[in-house]
Amino acid sequence: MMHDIRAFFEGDGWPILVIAALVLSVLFWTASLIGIAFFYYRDYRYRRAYSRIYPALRDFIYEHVLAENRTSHFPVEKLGLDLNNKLVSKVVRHVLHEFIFTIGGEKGQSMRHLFNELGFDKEAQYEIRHSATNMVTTVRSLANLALMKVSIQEKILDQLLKSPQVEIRVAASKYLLQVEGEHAFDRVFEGLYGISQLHAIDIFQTIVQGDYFGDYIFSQWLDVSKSFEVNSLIMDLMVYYQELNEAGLWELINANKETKTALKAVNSLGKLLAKDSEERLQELYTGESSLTAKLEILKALGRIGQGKSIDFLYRLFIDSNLPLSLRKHAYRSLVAQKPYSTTLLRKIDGELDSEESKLIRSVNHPMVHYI
Amino acid sequence: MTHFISSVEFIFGLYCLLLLVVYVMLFRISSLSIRENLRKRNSRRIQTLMESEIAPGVSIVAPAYNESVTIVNNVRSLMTLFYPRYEVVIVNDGSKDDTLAKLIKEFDLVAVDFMVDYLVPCKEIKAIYKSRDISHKRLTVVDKINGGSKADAVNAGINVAAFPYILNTDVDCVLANDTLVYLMEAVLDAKERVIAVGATLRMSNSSYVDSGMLVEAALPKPILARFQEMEYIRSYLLGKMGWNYLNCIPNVSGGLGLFDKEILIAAGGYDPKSLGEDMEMVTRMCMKMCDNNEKYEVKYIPQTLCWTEGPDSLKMLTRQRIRWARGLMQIMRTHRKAFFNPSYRKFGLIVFPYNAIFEFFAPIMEILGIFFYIYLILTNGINWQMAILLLVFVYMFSVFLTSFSILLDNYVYKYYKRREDIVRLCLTAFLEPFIYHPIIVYSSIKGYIQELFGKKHAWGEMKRKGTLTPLPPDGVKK
Amino acid sequence: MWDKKKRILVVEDNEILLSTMQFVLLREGYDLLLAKSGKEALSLVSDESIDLVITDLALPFANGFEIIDRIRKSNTNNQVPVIIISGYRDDNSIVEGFEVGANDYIKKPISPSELISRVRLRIGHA
Repeated sequence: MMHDIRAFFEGDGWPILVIAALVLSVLFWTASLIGIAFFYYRDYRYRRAYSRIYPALRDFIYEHVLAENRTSHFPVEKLGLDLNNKLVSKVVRHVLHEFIFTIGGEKGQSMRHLFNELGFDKEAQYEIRHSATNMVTTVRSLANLALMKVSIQEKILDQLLKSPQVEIRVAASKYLLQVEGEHAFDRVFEGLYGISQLHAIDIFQTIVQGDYFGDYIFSQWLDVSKSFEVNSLIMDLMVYYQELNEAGLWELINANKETKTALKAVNSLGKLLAKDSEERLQELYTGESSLTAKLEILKALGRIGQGKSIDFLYRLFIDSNLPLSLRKHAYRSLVAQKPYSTTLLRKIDGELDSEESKLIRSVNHPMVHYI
Repeated sequence: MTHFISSVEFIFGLYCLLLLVVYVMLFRISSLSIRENLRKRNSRRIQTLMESEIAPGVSIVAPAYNESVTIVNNVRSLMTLFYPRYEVVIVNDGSKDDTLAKLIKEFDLVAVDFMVDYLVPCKEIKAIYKSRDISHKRLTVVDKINGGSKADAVNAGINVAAFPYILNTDVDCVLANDTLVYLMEAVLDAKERVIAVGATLRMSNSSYVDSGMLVEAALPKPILARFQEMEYIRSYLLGKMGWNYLNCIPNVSGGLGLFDKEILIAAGGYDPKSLGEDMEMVTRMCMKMCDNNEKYEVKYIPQTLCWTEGPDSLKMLTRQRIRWARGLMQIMRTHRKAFFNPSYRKFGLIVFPYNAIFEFFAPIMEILGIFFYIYLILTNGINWQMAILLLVFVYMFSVFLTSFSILLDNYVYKYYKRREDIVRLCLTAFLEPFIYHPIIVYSSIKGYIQELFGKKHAWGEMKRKGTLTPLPPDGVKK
Repeated sequence: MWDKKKRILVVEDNEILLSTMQFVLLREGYDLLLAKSGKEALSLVSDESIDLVITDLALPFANGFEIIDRIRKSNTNNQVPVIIISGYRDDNSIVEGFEVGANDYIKKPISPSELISRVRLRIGHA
């Protein structure tokens, strides 16, 4: 091999290789430049189409959707748009999206009808049937169909809900939630797996923005074998709808004490004011070693507290060997437990050393919003 | 003698071949990585996260040292980022001018009682200020004793920060207003725990900035800044995005990086003695995760979210690069145990060795190569036809890679509104190997020599670097 | 000369939402001042006489909270009613909005008829 490289530099029959590489570089370079020019051209075309279509569409919407009392059957032919043209259809879709996310209420409904009447339902239906492998178009079409509240054939929807691609599964779930509301809950939660935290947030938003106020039991879907993301989503929903299920949350905590799922469950206990968990949380604290977990427990005690933990918190607060953050949170949780802790707090005030009083002042400071 | 020459040729030949392979690989995977990012982006509304009430909180930590002129506008721009839950922690690192006074006046600040847990080491915090205006309740100003380095100031910010994620930036950086949304999206969408995320940086030198907000991006007019813009585009879109695909990112730059606070603290915070504190921090975080046997990701996203002012004089540029080179050398020395160490998994087997061999040794190999070339010329040992052919190829290959990065950049977003900017940028690629590259190699070598030399002279010289420079401490400028 | 039309300052950086509100409010006969950034809004608030402010929260230069805070602390227009229009849906943002002195909070997307009735509630017909 050493000889080969020597021979290479000496040029024994090798220059052809270098020439080929050189030619390739030049070719790829040219291709890059063409690519850059193409992107510029594409952008230019889009902006030109936008500046033509946007004012016309806007005025149409103002005149026929906002000014008139019409809710459907819009005179779309007046627009004179060639929606078979891909560029035109793309621009129209973008503009309409903007308006749909801007205008709500009854007029928002009318906007969705307009979207539908421009033929976007057919386009989207076609795409979910024929490009089920193309993630971007499928997700987009599902979102559009949800906006228009157009129904999808059960067989296709089922396929999408079981798609191996998580983006598509989530989009299909969101579609179901938007179109069927609470009736979709069972089906959506049943098929929920492999999601990221971002998907969880997305689904959470879809549910709470759907103006659902019912008594659905979200906690039935808590399961120690499920991923953090799924359990976390369910706990977020439980907190949002104030559904307390102490047994379910404790099951998560006991199953894997050190994980973020357990931390989240402790946090949820606090936010759900699980007052029967006060003693158990103290026990949990004693057996706990991680600082993050201890802080989470203290915070929860502050929220729940019915006076049963004030001695416990007091002992933590006065223990100068503990890290500052623990003492801070212990004190904060005492303050949160007024009136149960009022006498104790008064007693503390009387026996503070200078360090402790500084700590207390910082906790109580009205301008310090997060600690 | 011939044996000596063939051995040397063998080493250089192998080195170049490997480098070529790496670049061809990056060429392929960077586009895959960017396509993946854009595909996901196109399929969802970024607003979901922005409007979410359960979005995790972020603490922005920005150190300031003698920034009196620009501080108010820059803080304002940080305060108007779009994200539902965040705070801004400005660390006044013992400025000698009226940086703090200006902040106090503009935002109606008052000193509040405080107790700080020094979770990561930093110089003493003298005071913490909060605003009397409720509308500025997101703002915290930390006044501390100058620690002589950016690292020390950031550590102070970390100690005060309330939220689980830290965005580390410089006050003189201009951020896009959806920076937090984009970076958090990358964190929340990953399969494993993301310990750090970065995004593309470019130069703000000739961009139109009004009151700390970017109004229009433009290609820098000063030639040095323009070279840097090109270098950044290449290093982010080709390099970082490529490595992102393999989850092998070596560094998240100090200009803009989002970090998982828990790991940041567990790894011990920034090292005030390091001259490349950002890379050193990421290195230590990765090693910490490997030590704990936990899976992790370091990510990059292709969008440009941060515009920073690049040094536009030769003196400033070489000074910056000398510091980077020394920082790199320190890391290579301090963390050498990771080198081809299988217990550090990908980090020990790919990231660290790549950095050592192709980042750290590259300037050395280049200089040695030139000497070898001269030697061969003198001894008449050169096949000129082949030599020139190779030179032309390498030149063209570098121009191609740069142009390809510009293509990738335009694939992500068209940042320049004016068409001539892009033409100029493409032309700059031809000049770079002759003008800019030699400056960089020179600075690196000088940095290595200084570092070797500085070692004998203990830390005295290093300390001075931070405290006595009339400009912001070198660490802040990065 | 004696223009008695009620005057509303609308602060919004999204072109479509701004022009939609413009259309809706002009049709009701209100006089409008438009601002696309916090900076423009602040200068208009200090110079012009205004009957109502409608503002977004996420704005360049100075966010909605700060605009309201400045209005309440200024010498002119400090009593003017303010309606927030925002995509932020979390309790914190809403509470903070009222804390700095907003009179109303509307979440996006906005219903035009709701907007009009909330405006009328504050300043009556044009």
